[in-house]
Amino acid sequence: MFNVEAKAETFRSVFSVLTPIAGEIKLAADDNGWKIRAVDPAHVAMVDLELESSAFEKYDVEPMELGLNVERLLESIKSARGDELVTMKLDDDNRLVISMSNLTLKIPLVDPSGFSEPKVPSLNLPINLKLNSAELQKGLKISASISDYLTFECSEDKLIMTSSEDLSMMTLELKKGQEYELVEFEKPSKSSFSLDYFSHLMKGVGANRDIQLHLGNSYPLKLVFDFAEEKGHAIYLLAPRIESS
Amino acid sequence: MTDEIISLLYEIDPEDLYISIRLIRGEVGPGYEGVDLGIAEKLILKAVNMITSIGEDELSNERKRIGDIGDTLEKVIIRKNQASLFSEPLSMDRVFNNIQKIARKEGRASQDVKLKIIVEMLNDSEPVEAKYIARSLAAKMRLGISTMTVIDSLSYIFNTDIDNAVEALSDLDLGEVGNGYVKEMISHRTKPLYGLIEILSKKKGCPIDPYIREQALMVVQEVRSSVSELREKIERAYNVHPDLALIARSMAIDGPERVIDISVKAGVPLRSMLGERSKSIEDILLKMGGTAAFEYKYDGLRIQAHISKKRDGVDVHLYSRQLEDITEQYPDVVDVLKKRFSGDDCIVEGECVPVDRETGSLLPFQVISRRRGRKFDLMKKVDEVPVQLVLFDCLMHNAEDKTLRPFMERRGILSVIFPQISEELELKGGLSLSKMKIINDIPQGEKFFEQALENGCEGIMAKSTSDTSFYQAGKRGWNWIKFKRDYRSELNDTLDLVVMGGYHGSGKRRGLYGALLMGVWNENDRRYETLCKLGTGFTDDILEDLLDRLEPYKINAPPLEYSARMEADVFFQPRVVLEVVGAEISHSPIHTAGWKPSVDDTGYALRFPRFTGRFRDDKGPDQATTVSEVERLYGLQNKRSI
Repeated sequence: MFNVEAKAETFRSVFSVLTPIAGEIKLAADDNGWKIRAVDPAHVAMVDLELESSAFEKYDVEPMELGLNVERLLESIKSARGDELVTMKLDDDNRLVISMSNLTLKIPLVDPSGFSEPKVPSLNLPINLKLNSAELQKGLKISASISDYLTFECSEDKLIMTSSEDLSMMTLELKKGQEYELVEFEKPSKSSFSLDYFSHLMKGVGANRDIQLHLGNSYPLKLVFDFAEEKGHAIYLLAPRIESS
Repeated sequence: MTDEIISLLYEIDPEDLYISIRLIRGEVGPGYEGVDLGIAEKLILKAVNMITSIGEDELSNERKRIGDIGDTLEKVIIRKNQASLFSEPLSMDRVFNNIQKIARKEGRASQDVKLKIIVEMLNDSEPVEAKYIARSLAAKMRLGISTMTVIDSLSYIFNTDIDNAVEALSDLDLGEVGNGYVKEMISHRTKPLYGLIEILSKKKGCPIDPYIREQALMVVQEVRSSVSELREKIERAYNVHPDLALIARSMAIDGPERVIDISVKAGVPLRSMLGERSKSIEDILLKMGGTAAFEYKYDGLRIQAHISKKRDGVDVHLYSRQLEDITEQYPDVVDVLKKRFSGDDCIVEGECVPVDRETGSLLPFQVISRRRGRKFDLMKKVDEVPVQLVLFDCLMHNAEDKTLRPFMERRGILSVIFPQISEELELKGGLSLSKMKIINDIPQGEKFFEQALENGCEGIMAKSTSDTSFYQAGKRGWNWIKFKRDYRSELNDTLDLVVMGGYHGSGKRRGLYGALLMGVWNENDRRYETLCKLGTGFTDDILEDLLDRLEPYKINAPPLEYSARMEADVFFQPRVVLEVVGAEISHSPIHTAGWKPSVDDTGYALRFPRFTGRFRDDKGPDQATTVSEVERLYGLQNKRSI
């Protein structure tokens, strides 16, 4: 049994968190809600996501695993208004039946056995900041014209985003207590990341969302945030670029 | 080469044999599935760009400078600066799974996924691993490990008699060198075996006790014949199921002896049986014991049709003689087979010939060769040039292997599978049986032959009606003898020669190839030998075309399977086959075809060779004209002049 109903925007927010990582994912569903863990094919980024069953208007699910093409799902609910109710259920032919107002779609499932079972690497990150995603977006947009990577350098009282190549350079300085709050600080750290990957992840986070950013020294970063009216919880991990020089 | 492959494969865990063979052969799946890798080098370089930050321009310049995608990656990959979330050493499984994923992802959106899968592998690659991954992806492994090398290797690796022999031989004192060979034989298989045979065969100056020597010699001779027996079984398995990786896996899992169980299967094309040639009807009847089934030899495209009943209808697959899936190019043939078929499943063989819709007569083969490789206006072509499938053999019926049943019985089954079928060409239906007659004397045979020519055929194919007239998949045998008009006149029968090398052109042909070094396949010594230098029959367009066709097969040095005394500016892997005519076959001190150094130090050469304009894309290099055919043509030509 798999029969759920939620607002279109709820589904949209879940799928949008996933698409920057993978086009196809394995969903583990049970009484408590949905759990999805996916790694991008290059093993550079991953997502670990949970959506509580209370995020749904109707939730009737036996424990099971489903392979889904999230890009197709996102496309299929594109036309729905945000507060429009959408149901998704499984039919006897193992297809996902999506219905909203007068529209019905049937989409075949993806074989879930083909997915790897990623473990979340255990990371020891000395810095944890709280900030609004808009603060990062600003730096991202500008650095895109400069280089293909982005460096975070965090000291006790400020976070500096830099991006440089040849003679061009961008520096964006965020101040503690103004643009961000410091939750944890062990030692100053510096890490660089692929701009392409980072901006995809930030698209998944969405505009104007409170996030926690965990950083280390030449170490993966961790982005933690809630979505779907705080009933969805997501963690992104992104592997760093290692400065060779 | 075989020695090294044997040592390599012997060391490998049997479970990994399947993947190892795929990887060293640079294949994703069995050849007949037609799944190719051939990833654009640009995409590979883009993956490098993602993990090293080296600009794409710089990478493409490096690639140009170094000349090989594998060497390029080996050099630049150390500048890798993208970390991975889960770093772990590469395994064969992981690489092969990724290669499979890449090969089977289709469409534009998948480019990004392909790119990332390449990144995933390169991220964990040592430089040398990156080199071979890149070459595998770009389909440029170029190890030149032939089918025969692998079959040979398997016949040693899986030969338990070698291990038994080692046990028997360890009890004998064969001198220091001999005992050394025996010790090495378990793991190195071939080299020590032949080393041992060499010492034991020397009668004079052999330090081993004569009685022991005799005993040991018997043991090693037995091993040798046991190896060749197993090789024959593997070859037979390969001929009916041409997938070496699968054969190796089945030998590893089910046991080497079970290789004989590998059999004909719908959806897996068999290697075609081929016919010998003869110089006269008289000779044919003599060889066939007085009686033979004569069939028209149609000038068309040989097709193997696999038909099976499925839950949702009838499934048809068509394969060319090259075992290439050509189902999509002949929707009309598929339709007629679906409609007319009755039974569970079958594999039938026939010749696909173009027919003139107005007159009902056969058209030249060239007319349908225009259909090859077409996608967009295929349906138009289907209408313009209707084809007829003329069936002549049945290789499997209702899950039963028929290849080891006599020819007449096999042909009889065709009328069971297709109840309404007859020897008359059908203008509308498009399915018929080859014209056949049992011939007992020469005048009858001559008459049938003339009739075949009048009806637009190339000649006749005589087939033995004996109880042992089996379908010898992948072999040329005397159970089938072809006879064409050409054979009795001057030497204007065509030869299908392999392009082995090229010479840079000058003057008008500057920048193109001025001439090509052409060769034949020596099926006994399993190598390619040169027959002529070909420089005529080429138009400017053909020369341009040749440049592109040959480019992917360029290699720096002649492969080990080449025997050539002539130098060339460039050598190619044996892939491209051209149809060539010539004036006569002569002896030559510079060509190596059929060259026996011990006899007279000359080989055969084709005098005044000329390209007919026909690329034999339907033939693989080992289906090209063979040395023994050249030898026979030479014999025919000399008899004629007497």
